[in-house]
Amino acid sequence: MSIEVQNISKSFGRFKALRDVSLRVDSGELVALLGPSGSGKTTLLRIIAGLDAPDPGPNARVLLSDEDVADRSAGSRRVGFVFQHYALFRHMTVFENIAFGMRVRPRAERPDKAAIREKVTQLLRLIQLENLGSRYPSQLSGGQRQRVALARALAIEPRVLLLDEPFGALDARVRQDLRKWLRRLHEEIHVTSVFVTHDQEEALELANRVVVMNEGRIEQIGTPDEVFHQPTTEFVMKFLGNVNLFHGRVESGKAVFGPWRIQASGGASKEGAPARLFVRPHDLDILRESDGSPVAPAVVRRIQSAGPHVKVELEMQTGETLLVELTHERHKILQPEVGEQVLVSLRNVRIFTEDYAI
Amino acid sequence: MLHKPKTARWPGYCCIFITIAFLTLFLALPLTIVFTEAFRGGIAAYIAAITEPDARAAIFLTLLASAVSVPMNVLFGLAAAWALTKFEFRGKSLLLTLIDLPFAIPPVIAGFLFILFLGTNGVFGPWLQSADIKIIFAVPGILIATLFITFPFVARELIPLMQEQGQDEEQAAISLGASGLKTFWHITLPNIKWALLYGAILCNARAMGEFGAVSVVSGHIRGATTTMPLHIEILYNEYNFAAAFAVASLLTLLALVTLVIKSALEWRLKREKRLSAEEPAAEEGVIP
Repeated sequence: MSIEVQNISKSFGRFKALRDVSLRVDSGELVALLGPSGSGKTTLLRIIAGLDAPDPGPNARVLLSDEDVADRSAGSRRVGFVFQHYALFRHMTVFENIAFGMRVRPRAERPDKAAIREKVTQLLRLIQLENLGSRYPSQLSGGQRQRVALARALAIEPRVLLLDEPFGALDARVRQDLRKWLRRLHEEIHVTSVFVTHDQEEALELANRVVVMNEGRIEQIGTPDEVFHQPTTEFVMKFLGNVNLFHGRVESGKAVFGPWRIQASGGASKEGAPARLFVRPHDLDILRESDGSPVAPAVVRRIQSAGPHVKVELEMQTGETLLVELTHERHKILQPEVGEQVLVSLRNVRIFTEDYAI
Repeated sequence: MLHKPKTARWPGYCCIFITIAFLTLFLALPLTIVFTEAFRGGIAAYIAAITEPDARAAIFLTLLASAVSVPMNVLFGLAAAWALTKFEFRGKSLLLTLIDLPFAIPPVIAGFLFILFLGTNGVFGPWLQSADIKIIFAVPGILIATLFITFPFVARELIPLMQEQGQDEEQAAISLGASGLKTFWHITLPNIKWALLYGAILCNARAMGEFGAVSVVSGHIRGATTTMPLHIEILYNEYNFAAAFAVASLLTLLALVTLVIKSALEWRLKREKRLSAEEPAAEEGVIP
C-alpha cells in the first residue's frame, strides 16, 4: 500500500512544524524520516496516521493507496503506529495488549476467541516472546516492550506501518539487534513502513530510502548511498556524518580554498562569491611527500587509534582544525607522530557556493 | 565491614516521644472521649439518641447530600480531568483555577454567596419566589452547598495522575481502531480507577462532614434541614451532651472508616505508580 502526502503544512501556535511537504512512499518500501529534533518528522508521521490533522489547505492531501483519507479517523485508516515510548497498556498482559486491536472491533467484524488466540500466538512467535504472553509490560525489558508494541500494531493487519523513533529509548547493543531484526521482519512481511529517527546510522542501515528533514522541510530524498555520497544541500552533508569545512572564494570559474583549486563543473558562479568546501574525514589523506596533487601543510595534534578507524586531528597553517580518518593499514604505513609536519590531500569533496553545488 | 559512624540516639527518641505525646493528647484522647461520652448513658440511651426522629432525619439528609454530591462530582471530576489533560484549548488554565475555587473560598462565605444569589432578597430571589421554588433554608440549598464545597476533590486527584500518564495509551488505542467510548472504558478508566475511588472517598467524607456552608444555607429547621454536623451542634447547644456525642460518634466512625479505606487506596496507588515508573527489566533473550 502506498502513502502519499501532498502540500502538507502544520503549525502549533506560531511554530511551523511542517512547511508544504510532499512525499510519496511506494508499496513495500521501508523509508526513514531523518532529521534533528524539531524538524517535523514525527509530526509528519502523526499526520499520516491521522493522530494530528494538517493545516487546511486547498491542495493539502493525505493519500493511502491513492485514496484520500482526510475524512477518515485514525482508527479507520488501518495504520499500525508504534509509539516512541511504546505506549503499551500497562494494566493488560502482553497477550491482551496484542489482542486489543482485534477485540475492540465492532461485533460483526470481530474474529472469534479461537482466531484471536491463534493470531496472538503467531505474533508472539514472530517477536520471539512466546513464553511471555502472561507478563505485564512493567515486567519486560525495553527491547521486549518495543517488540510487543510492534506486534500489537501488526495485529490489526495494517496497510502501512509507522514507527516513531522505534529504538530511541534503547541502549546501543539492543538497538543494533532490533535494527537487524526489523530489517528481516520487513523483508518477510513486506508491509510499507515509515520510521522516524534522528540517528543517521540507523536510517542509512535500515531504510531503502531516506528522507532528510530540517525545519519542517524535506532537504533531500534518496537512497542511503545518494544522501550520503551526493548530498544536495549543506544541511544533508553536515547531518550525515562528520565533515570538515573550508571557506573559500570563486576565482575565474574555480572554487579556491588555499592550495586547492577545484573546477566548477556546473557553470560559472559569480567571481568572488563565497564558497564552502565540505570533506568527510575519510576523504582526506595524509602524505609525507607531495604526490603531485595539490596539498596543504599541517601539524599533527592528536591521534586516536581505538575504534574502526584511526582519527587524526590536524592543525592547518590558518589555525583551522581538520579531522582525518585513516584506515588502520594506512596508519601503520604512515606512522604519523604528534607534532609532526605533514601534508594533507583531498580525494572526494563537495562544494557549495551561493547558487550551485559541484 | 562497614562501620556506622556513631551518632547520638537521644534526638531521635526525643522526636518520637514528642510526636506520640502530641498524637495522644490531641487525637487519641478526644477520640476516646467521643465514644465514652456517647455511651455514658448506656447503650439504650445511645440507641435512643441516634434513632429519635430528628436524628434520623439528620442522618438521612447527610446520606442524601453525599449520595447526590459523590456521583455528580465523580462525573464532573472525570469530565474536567479528561478535558484538562487530554485536550489543548483556550482558557485551560482559567478552568484549572476555577476548579480550585471552592478550596480557596471559606465555606461560610460560600454559603453566603448562595444566599446572596438564591435567597429571598437575593439576585434570583424574586424569580424563584414567583416560581414557588424554595432553595435557601431547604434541602436543595443544602445539596447545592455540599456540591459546591466538594467539587474539587475528584478532579484534583485525577488531574496530576492523568497528566503524568499522558495521552500515548489513548492514542495507541484509537490507532488500533477503538472508539472513543471503548478507549475510555478499556484504557483510561482502568488506569485511573484507584485515584477516582480515592477522590470519591475524600469527597464523601467532606460531604458528610461539611458544616460551614451548609450551616449558612440550612436555616437550622430541626428534622427538616439539619444534617448530622448541624444536629450535633443543636444538641450540644441544648446541653444534651450524651445525645450530641452519640451522633458525633457516628460521624467519627465514618471518619475512621474513611481513613482505613484512604490508607488502603494510597498504598494501592503508590504501588501502581511504582509499577508504571519501574525501570525496564534487564535485557534478556536478545534476538540472535
